[in-house]
Amino acid sequence: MTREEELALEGYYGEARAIAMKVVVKVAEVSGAERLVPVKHAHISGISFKNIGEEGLEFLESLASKGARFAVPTTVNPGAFDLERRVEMKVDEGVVRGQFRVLDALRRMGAKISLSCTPYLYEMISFRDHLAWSESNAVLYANSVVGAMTNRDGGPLALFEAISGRAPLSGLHLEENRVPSLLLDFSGIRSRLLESGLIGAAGLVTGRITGSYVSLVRGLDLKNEDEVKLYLAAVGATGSTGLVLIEGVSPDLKHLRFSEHELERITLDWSALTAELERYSGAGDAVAVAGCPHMSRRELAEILEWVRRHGGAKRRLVLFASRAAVEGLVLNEPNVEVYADTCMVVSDLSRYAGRSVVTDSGKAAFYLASQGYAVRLVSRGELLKYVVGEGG
Amino acid sequence: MEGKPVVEGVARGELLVTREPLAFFGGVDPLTGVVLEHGHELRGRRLSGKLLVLPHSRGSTVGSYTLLRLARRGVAPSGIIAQKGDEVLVVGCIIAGIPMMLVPSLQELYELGNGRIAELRVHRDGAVLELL
Repeated sequence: MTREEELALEGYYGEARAIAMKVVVKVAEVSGAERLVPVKHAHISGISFKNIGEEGLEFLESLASKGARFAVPTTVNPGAFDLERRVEMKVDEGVVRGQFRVLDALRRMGAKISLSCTPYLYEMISFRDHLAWSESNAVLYANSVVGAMTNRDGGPLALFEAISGRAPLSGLHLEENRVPSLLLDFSGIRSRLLESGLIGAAGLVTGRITGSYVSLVRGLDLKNEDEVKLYLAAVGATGSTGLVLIEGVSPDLKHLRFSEHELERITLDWSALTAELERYSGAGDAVAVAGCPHMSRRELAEILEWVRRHGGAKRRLVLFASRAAVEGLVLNEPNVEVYADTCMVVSDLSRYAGRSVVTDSGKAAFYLASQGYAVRLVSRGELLKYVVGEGG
Repeated sequence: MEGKPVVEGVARGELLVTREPLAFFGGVDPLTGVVLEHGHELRGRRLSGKLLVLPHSRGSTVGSYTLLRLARRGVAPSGIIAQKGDEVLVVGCIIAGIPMMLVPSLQELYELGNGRIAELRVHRDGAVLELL
């Protein structure tokens, strides 16, 4: 430990910093890390009042009162509702009050109340920056697309890492743990996959196969960062890994040294995708939901424009995006609702959209199905056709 | 029985032993400390005041807050003996103030089963579980 870290642990920088440092040091010891590493940015998940409860809220408030301040720029994941549309979302008053107190405590500690799961679209992070991020899709994007280094931390750990400004130097913070051990080859179904647009399903398949390992992914055509985030979010739902090395995308591939013939090679065929789709074959009359991860401003504009050009939405379309993506956008398309600050997974979707949904998000399909929703997983193209009344 | 110290403190209670990982978030009622997880061998059991022996936790990292909630309501396990110090348990036990130690093998405790009264003493340089 550096002298500064020792001083923090001894309480020189206050009680809150000492608690935070103690947590990080203990996690480091137990995970076998040799030392801590300073982080440049933190992203905290698990801030929904419904999940952390009155006691979690009091804990955050007591940290703030004890003078806890985030040592690095810190953003937060979506919460239980859209701060400006809680009436339409039919949120309980108790949840509203509790959630606002949670956000207030985080704000007092210095967080930017971004309420977004796509901090990588808005925060300045670069190749080989060490981060303390929770939220699996954000972790996968930071590591796999930016080449930054973060473990897939839990929400509470990321909170303490943000206060201490340190993370255990272990896992994906170390170059040697970023080397792949599997090669997942989509080449054989490359054109069919591209034509079908089944990015979410491809991500779910990848996650199931890769598990906690790092994979090199070949033969996958992802057009832009929006498709990449849709894919990676699904990987994070079925797999516990925090890094996927995608050819043509991941900067680590220019950097890491490994020999390809030592990798275990797995060739994907179409049946893997159909097996995934069969898990999410849904029910009849469903509301279309998209924006998991949160839509970028460009995506949102593209979708609204497409729907308009095709005669408007005949079926209800519910979209989720960051406040930063929604700000200033004109949203008056009939049958299309856009929510910010929250998402389909952490809000109580059934209250305002029913229990039967169709989505293009592999991650949302996975989590909503596990919460008992009837879910159909389709491509973005199919989803939009469904909304404007073309096809089933 | 000696182990590796994780969270310091002294705790006494009945041993409650499971071979199955436990999901604290969603799997334990944060208000009562009763295990709710479907299909878990501890389902229906109360964690309150027990020395909980388990391989490790599983599931959402919000589980750390669940341990805190249990402790604030006085229905948390009095101590935890685990084989693997996963993040949910380590962070949860620190913020909840639940003494915790790690042991390389739980075999001996599995054989002992539930119900024995024991004392867990965790200090900076060592941890010990003693049957009373």
